[in-house]
Amino acid sequence: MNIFIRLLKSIDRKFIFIITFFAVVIPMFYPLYLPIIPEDSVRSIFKKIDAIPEGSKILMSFDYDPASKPECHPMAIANLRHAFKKNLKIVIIQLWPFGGAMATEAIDELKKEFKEIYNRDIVYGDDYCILGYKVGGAILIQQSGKDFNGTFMEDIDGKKASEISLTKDVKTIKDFELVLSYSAGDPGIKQWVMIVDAQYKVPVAGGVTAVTAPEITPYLNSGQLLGLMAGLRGAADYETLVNKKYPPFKKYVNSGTSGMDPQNIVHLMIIIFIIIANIIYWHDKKMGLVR
Amino acid sequence: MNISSEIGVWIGAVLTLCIWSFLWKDNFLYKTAEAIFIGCSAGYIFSKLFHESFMAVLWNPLTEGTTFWGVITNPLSKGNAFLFIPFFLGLLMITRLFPGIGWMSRWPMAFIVGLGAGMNIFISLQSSVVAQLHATMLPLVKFHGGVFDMTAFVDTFNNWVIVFGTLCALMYFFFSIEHKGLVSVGARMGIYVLMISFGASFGATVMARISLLIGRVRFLKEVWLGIV
Repeated sequence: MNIFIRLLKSIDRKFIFIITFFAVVIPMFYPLYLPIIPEDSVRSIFKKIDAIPEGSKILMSFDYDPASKPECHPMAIANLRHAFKKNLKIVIIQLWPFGGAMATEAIDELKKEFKEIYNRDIVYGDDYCILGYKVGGAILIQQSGKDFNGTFMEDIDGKKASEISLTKDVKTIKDFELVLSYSAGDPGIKQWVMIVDAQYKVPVAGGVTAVTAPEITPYLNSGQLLGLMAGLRGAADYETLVNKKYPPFKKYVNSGTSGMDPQNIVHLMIIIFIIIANIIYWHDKKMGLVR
Repeated sequence: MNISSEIGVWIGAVLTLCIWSFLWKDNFLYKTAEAIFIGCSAGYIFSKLFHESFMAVLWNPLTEGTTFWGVITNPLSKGNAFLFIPFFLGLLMITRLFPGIGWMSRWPMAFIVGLGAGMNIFISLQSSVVAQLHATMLPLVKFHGGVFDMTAFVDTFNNWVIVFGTLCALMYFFFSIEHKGLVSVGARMGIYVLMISFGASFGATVMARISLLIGRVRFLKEVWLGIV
């Protein structure tokens, strides 16, 4: 036992890094296709988007940057796929400076998909528009509840919001059927819930990074948040629901779904590491090496 | 395998490998990649702020249909003279760069703090205190269609966990009376509740970090090396 414990304690941390790397890479080459059962908090977003009448406007706030792209981008793409397929009109805003670039990248990807599958063009100004970044966070949200076009004045190309066909009739945030925020921190979904749901009674849902999820979950439990996608798992859940209803999307990149196998393997590995570390701690404590 | 021929993809791939080299030890490649990341981010954010915030919100409305000098000499003619207030406050913020007059930047800072605090107190009270309190006021025995079946049992159990978990966690932070007897038991339970929540946070953090690794590996595999 002592030799075994000594051997474990002598393992270099780089060895753990290497194991983690292979635990991610191997399932990518040899997927296990473990089943994904969508959570209720994700189903509720899907049901809501599905129930919104065709042609209605929804607001999407891209509140993340490239550092959190692997988590937030797949859920945004999954929501956009569903919304475009439902012919909803999407107004995109950004509370983070990189949000516009993220939204542009996501929509460029979807334009190709819709062209290939449905021979449909996703048109800027008619199907969606991306309004420019502005500082202010919560103050912007508060202001948009009173005067939307006065708050988000121009799109990313400098065109006035009042001249874009999609936004010219928007007066306040109440003109949207749903607000979706993809959030990696502050300002983000918390501010949307605190202001738009509480004061203007517009349903708010969205996705957050897994780190932020425990902080946001109380708003879901209290009913202030319509639904929540937490991390890559949330994206995988939504992709599963979209692919079930619209199978042609299965053949395209579903980052959340394909990321679940490596995620599960690494989690299993970390659980084993924690158990081993606790055995070492328990042994050292028994031997009087730690207090 | 279809290796990318795009220069941007190659730069991204090489910088990713440079950042990963930190796992071995701190080195020149890591520091270079880190410096490039910070420089690019700062430049991009400055550009976005300048064009989509400063120009769009302040400069263009101020000078629309006239020159800036025209606005200065006759500010009331355009009816948006109030824009001079944020413009002036913004200029005061820049005084931080000059040690002699740096104290003037406290005025716009005071404005921001006052506005932020005033707004946040109201919205936080409403949604983070009152709504959360309301969400913890749950029935301790719940029936499902008038019957106490398995669903009702699970709901009842969940409600007990939420109600007593909240009370115990609050009891741990209640220092006005000595933690003895029933209070001590409650406070101890509160510690366990807090530890479980820390565990959940740790699990979520692991999931987040692994997701980032998955994202980068996928980029190297699919975009750079072209292995789909």
